[in-house]
Amino acid sequence: MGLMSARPRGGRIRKRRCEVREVVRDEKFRKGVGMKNENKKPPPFRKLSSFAFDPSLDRDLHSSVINRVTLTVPWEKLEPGPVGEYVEVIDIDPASNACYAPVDLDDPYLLANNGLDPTDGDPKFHQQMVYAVAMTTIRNFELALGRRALWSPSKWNAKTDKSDEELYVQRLRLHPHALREANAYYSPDKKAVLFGYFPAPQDRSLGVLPGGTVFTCLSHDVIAHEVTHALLDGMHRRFVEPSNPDVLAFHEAFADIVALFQRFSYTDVLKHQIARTRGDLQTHNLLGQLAQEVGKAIGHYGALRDALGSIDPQTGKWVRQRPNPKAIDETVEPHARGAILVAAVFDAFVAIYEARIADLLRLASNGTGILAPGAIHPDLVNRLTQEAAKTSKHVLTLCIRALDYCPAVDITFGEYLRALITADYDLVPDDPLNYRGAFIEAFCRRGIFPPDVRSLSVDSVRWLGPTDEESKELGETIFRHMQSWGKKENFRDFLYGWDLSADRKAVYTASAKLSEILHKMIKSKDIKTDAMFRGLDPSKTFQISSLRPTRRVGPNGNFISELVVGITQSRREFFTPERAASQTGILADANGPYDFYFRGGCTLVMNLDEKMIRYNIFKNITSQTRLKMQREYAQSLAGDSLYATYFGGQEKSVREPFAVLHRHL
Amino acid sequence: MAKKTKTTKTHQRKASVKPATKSVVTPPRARTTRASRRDLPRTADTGSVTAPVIPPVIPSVTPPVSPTTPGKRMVVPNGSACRVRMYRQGLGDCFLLAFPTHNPEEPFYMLIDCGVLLGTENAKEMMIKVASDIESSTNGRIDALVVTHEHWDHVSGFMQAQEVFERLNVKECWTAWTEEPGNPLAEKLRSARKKTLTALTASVSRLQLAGGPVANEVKSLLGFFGVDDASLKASKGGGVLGVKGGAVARRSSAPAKAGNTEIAMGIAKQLGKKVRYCTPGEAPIPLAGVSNVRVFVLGPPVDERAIKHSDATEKQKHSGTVYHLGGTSTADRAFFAAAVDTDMTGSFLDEQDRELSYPFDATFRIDPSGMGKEAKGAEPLRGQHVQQSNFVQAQASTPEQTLFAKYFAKENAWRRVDGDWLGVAADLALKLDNDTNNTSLALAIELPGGEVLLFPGDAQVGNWVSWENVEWNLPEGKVTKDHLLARTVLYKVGHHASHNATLRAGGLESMGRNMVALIPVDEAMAGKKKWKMPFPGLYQALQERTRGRVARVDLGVPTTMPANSSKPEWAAFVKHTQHSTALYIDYCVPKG
Repeated sequence: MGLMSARPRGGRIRKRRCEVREVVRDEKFRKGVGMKNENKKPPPFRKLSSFAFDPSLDRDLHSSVINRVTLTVPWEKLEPGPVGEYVEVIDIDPASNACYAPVDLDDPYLLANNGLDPTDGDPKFHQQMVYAVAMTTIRNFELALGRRALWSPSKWNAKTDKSDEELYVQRLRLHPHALREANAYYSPDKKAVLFGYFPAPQDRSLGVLPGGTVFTCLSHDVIAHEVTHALLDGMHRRFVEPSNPDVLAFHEAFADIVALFQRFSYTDVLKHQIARTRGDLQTHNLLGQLAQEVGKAIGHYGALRDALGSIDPQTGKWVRQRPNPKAIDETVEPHARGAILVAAVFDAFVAIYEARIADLLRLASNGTGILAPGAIHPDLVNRLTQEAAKTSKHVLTLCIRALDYCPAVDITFGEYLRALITADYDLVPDDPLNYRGAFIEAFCRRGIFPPDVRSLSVDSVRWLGPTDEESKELGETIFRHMQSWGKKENFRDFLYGWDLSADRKAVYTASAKLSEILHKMIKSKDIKTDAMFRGLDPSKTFQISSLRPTRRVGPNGNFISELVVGITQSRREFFTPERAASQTGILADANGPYDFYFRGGCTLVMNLDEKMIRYNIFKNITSQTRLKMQREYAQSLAGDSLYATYFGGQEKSVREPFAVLHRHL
Repeated sequence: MAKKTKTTKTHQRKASVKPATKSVVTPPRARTTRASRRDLPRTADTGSVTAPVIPPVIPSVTPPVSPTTPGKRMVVPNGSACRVRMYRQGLGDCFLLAFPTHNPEEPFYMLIDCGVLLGTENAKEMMIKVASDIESSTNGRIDALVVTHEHWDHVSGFMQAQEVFERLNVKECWTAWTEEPGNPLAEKLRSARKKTLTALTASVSRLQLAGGPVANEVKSLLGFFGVDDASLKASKGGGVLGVKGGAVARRSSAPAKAGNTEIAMGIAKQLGKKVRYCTPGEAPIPLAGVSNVRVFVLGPPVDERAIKHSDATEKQKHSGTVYHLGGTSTADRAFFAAAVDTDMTGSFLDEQDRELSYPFDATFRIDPSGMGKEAKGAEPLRGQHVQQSNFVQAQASTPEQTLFAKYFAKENAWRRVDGDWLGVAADLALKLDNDTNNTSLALAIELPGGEVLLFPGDAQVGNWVSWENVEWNLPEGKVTKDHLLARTVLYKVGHHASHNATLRAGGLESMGRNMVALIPVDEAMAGKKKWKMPFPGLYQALQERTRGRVARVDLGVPTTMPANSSKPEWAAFVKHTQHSTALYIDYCVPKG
């Protein structure tokens, strides 16, 4: 824009062209302040080229047309790397004893060209794609939640060399070439995503170059998947601890869900696939598949994971996966178990989409609803695409928003369903298209049932708050406290201040500070209503594990922000009651032996304006049933794999929980 | 002394060639050697009903046992169909079986494996002691030497007590088909094993530099291949490390050195006058001179995929699934090895291959040490924990220097990923260990009464599952693994009772109700390595299944009767194990 406005003065523009390289280095330009006019605003977005799938689709004539997308990410000041507000791409390859020069996306040549063109031969494009897809994922998260995303704090203090306090981590690190294996994982300890590369096997039938290098960092799905792990960890730190078979599976499933539905936001891809499948997303299509090239290269025929169906190894034909409600009882491996949840969400999506397009199909088929054979009309393709995009956006938003309504520890699929229904109920009080019914039905068909409910009606499945009396009593007590401590405004500012334009470090600091205040308040004797302490053991210490606002527009069009507080408690436990009994003395010792941590806690959703506790979603730490189940699970985990036999199951899973899980993705 | 024994040996060999195979009635002349004449202290046959009290800890062996230590012949008592001896050398397998022939003084001897885990104290002395006892118990004649698979804890004895073993007269050596020279699949498996082993051995020193637990994990697994500190050092001295960045990588034309296990296996195979390569499903093998005893070969499967199958997880159901590094193994291993190999003598990499192993061509690669003033000889990457690299202080000017200075900065040391790529080594080591275990020769020995002794070696899930596909069409009808399991009266618990070496459904749960179990495990030793052996769940299941009749190498024969046993049953068990000593546990399988 600066250049455009300078057009009348031809002499200057020539000069400027010569200087343009220097100008780029200019700090003002980086900030986007504009070269001449100080009041110029930066553009809202930066456009970057990327693969929509991965390089393998480039080699297929049918899919190559849709394999290149231009991602639109929010404009931000970037250092070479790219290093931005949320992520830093550091391209170091220890296995090759090499590092690769960072891409400078603010270079004018790149700015003029939507970045580098997709290629697998230039590490700079790899850096660009990793950055672009990661930012798209982060953006989707933020838009759904209406607040800026934070990474989980670091427990490591480099100055004191201790892990006693939690520190703010501004940027997630992305290492596009950190591993030499068919693996990519998020490291919760290092706050980094490590991508691997590996040679494809010497098998000519797989459709990849035998021995050629396959980069996981060039797979859209792998990037989105891993960054989602990091985002989820930023909200729910305890979800990396396998306290029941669902927890790690949930992490995997959620990451897949985000990766899948993110693809639906690429209109060209969607349009192409809708035209190909004639609008029927239940048939074989590229949208429901994850990581094609990686999948092919590690010996699967087709995609690594397929939400809808799979290739029959005998016939080589794709078959739709039939819902099997019993599969959930037999499946324990986190990816396979997670796939059940992904499939359930996808089923719900398809059901909603089909309900939305039923009228269009009737219009296009003389009222029969049955399309004539052959290609469908481009107008219909456009309309169907719109509906699919809208539905997928709704579903993705809902899935992300539900995270605010999940228990703080030990999540199960059934509880996630309850969180989904609650999130949707809060967001859209009336439900004309019956999204909630679609979700409940899809989950039940996959054998996922909400726990502790009397029926499957929406009202039963939705979380319930404390009784009005309890809620009011507690709400008023807390409100009184806030007022008497003069902190009410702080809370309110916090609630409404943490939006999409907030300073991330400031909200992190505010959240930590207010957590401290809240902790003191709850600890003080007179807040001890059952509503607050349901699920907690009031005699034991507790932590405020998270404090965040959930934001939405209320039924009257008013803006509502509610406080979500995660409170957790934990204690050391042993595999068997006998072992626990023999170790009672040791339990007090912080460094003593233990088999696993048993955690409980609750997520409170508070409305400060109405002085109400709206929901209390708890996992009871005093529950013997839960303890028994976790004991059994921990024991089975301790001996369920080769790893466990040799290296000890628990230790390994704590060290790098996703490394082993993702080996071969 | 040595000379004398040598003559004895030649003597024996000559003498026993003829009689032991066919005419069992003729006692071989060798029987009247010094060793057996000294065989005086016969306490065995008149044992009391109380179980022998066996010290739980194996006494250390001092002084080294002379090869001619008097022993006593191992004979099968009346009323027994077979006598099974489990040596108590530590964590490792060594079983001596005696089957009665027409001549009660000359049973048929079968030795199954002879090894002890690397790192066991006084291993050599112990194995010499064991071997000497084998020599004296068998009068120097082994009719069948069974070597289940190439793992140190199954073959070390052949190397450690080579002297003793070479004196023995071994009629036949039995191994799995996977050891057969010229068999294409066997060759493929062996060559892959060797390559991985070489790469892993080389990687250990790097892993150690990188810090973290992976180095020790890999090292402890390499112990199964007899890779000890000395061989690690040797591999290092050969130029694995110590070649600084920039120096021309040296290449050695020498092929990878054979692992210790390979040598031990070779010795064992040479001991036999004949080597028999067993294939599952082949006609049951009769034992020469023993009537109505047949050996059924159950595994290892002649199926690459089954051999690479380890975990009893969901995954096994998807037949197309790749396990760990299964399907891509060659590529992955080559790649991984290449990375380990870049600086070292490229034993299986030439210049072009190495260049191709890089993800990008040389124009893109920047040497991290070249980005600033670098301390001499220090490698900033390559898996070391460099707390502070010197070039950080250098004035950063180019974009990459700014960026990577941040990476190498001291305060960001906790975020570095230098060693993470080596994490796959632990997986490779596991895979290698498992694949080798799955090449275990699994035998079901059927006694005249139809009872079965089950010796699965260290077979893992893939091997067990494959038994389903094996069946024998015999004159008396079809025999499947289910028949054999149901008739099992003695189970040598696989892989020291780790969780994945005994199948539950279709395995332990199908086994006979009247079974006893022998576990060659040393829990303390396994604990030192942080291995879960015996696996509590399996151990408990075994206890329940056998009603307490589980004998362990470390704990000996149990002395207290569990609640779920009965007095007559327990008394019989006590009686049948009465010959046990501190060196071995003897179980006489009663005639059915």
